[in-house]
Amino acid sequence: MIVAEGVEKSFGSAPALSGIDVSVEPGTVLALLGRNGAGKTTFVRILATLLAPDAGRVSIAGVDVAREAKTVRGLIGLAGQFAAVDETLSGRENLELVGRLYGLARAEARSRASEVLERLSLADAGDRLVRTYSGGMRRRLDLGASLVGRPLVLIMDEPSTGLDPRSRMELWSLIDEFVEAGTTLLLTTQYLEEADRLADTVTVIERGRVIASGTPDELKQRIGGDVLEVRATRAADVDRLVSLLGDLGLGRPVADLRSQSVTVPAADRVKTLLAAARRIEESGIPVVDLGVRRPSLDDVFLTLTGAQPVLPATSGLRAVVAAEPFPQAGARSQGAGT
Amino acid sequence: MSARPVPATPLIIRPRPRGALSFVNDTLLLTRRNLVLTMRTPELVIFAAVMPIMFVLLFRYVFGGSIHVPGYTNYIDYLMPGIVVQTALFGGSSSAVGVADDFSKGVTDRLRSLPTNRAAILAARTLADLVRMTYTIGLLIAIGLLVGFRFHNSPLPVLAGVAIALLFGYACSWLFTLIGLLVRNVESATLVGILITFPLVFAASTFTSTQYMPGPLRAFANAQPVTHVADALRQLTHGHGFAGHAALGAVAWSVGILVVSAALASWKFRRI
Repeated sequence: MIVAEGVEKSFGSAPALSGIDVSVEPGTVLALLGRNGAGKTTFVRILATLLAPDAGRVSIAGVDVAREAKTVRGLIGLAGQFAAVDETLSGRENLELVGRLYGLARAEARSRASEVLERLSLADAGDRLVRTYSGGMRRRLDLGASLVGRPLVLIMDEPSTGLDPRSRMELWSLIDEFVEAGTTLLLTTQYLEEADRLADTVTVIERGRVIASGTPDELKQRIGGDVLEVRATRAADVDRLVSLLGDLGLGRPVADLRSQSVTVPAADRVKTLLAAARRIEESGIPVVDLGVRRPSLDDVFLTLTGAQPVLPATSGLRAVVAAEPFPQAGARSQGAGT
Repeated sequence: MSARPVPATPLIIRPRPRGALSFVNDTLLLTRRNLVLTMRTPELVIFAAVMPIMFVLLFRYVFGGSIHVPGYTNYIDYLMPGIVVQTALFGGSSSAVGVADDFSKGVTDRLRSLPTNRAAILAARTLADLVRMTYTIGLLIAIGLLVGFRFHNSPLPVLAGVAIALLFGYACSWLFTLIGLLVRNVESATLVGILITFPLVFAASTFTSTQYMPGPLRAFANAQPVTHVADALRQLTHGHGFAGHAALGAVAWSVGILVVSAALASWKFRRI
């Protein structure tokens, strides 16, 4: 459905994309995973006909993006990084305008707007000005605007950035619905968690290059498994925890005195978590937190770019990982649930 | 009907009306959008009207007594055309902010990703400016008439004069659209707007005759478009019939700014 071959783009002398190949099968979800500045948005803008590539070819449903941009625009729906909706129009007016700009007649634009509002649980708020919407509602409306044209291919640029956890969950289940209905989806994300949850295929890009591509499971195998993390109540107990958990996981436990935590690579999420819990209880060491988390995006990059794996690394790198709040928080609550 | 979920999408490529028709449709749709956005922001509507009215009152009652322009017994007859042109220029300069705002909010990306006629996006922006400008200038002239301003010419030349001022404002709207496309953020757009409009408005015949200005300033003032347009409007409201040659320069400047800015803005918009 989407085929990109050797896509290159530079801004001035700075290369943003240096040869991207991507292929998305009809009815599947591809997540483009990468850090800020990796080239995700540039690629999305090329797909959405907002930017012309310097080299390479991109086609959507067999239609060339560069040569038949206008046809492509009738096939795609774009939800960008911002909630690109007008504050002083109502939700319904926003959607109707987009429908009219797709070339729909007034009556049809109106009925599709109602349809989309209903679908996104915005029917009650449809006639209120967007100014009064919450951030999550705006984002949903923006997504709705990309659905009014009933696109064959939906392109979403960091859909969950800036959403609170609940809105993010709602968004994810909406995305599930679109995919069930047969929409092909390409989304970009900074979060492995999100790619894992939504995508059939994950393509990791870094500095404008594809550095890995595969199913989420394949990718995680390449990255390494989950991580058990314990945070001690008292800094003095960190060393005791290290020796306590010494032979539990796949490797040596790593202490981070700054966050008073100990991490161990875990072979099996549940077994490792239960064993650790038992030992900690028996030892009587007070702990603030205990959980299994997935490797964070930093783990992915450090592994894939050939740098030292993050776990046995210095506390400086641990600090970087700890600074990324949302994947850890999500994973930890998951770990506690299992 | 309304509650029906969106079905599994069959491939429907809906051919849009091509060329001129989609241009007209989309321009009207987006012009309406721009105007509705303005009307629902009352502070914008009020500010747009209050600024020029304050200038009228300020120059009519505060400075007016000490400003004497040869050939005018009532200073207000000299002043009003100047303020009309100033309003046209300021009205056009709001495009820079509007364009930058749409950019920074991602609205421009959304519009450009739709099968919308792209030329319509900028055309609608400037057309909406023209409508707002006409409203403000109408209001302004009404206030002027209340504080003693009079047309001394017959209706046709007066209308021609107002039309020239609007043409100038419309041309400025394209100029500032181009600037908005170049800077793309609201703060810079506001700043650049002020940096361009203020010298043009004050180093001109807007509020007083240029003949008492020092040499180089006078040369600048006499050459630049605001003076030409203000003088043209004065000749057509205060003079007799279509006498006077200022209209020529005013129209030439306006058309020149319009053609160059519209061409560059469209070019820039395609390459963003």
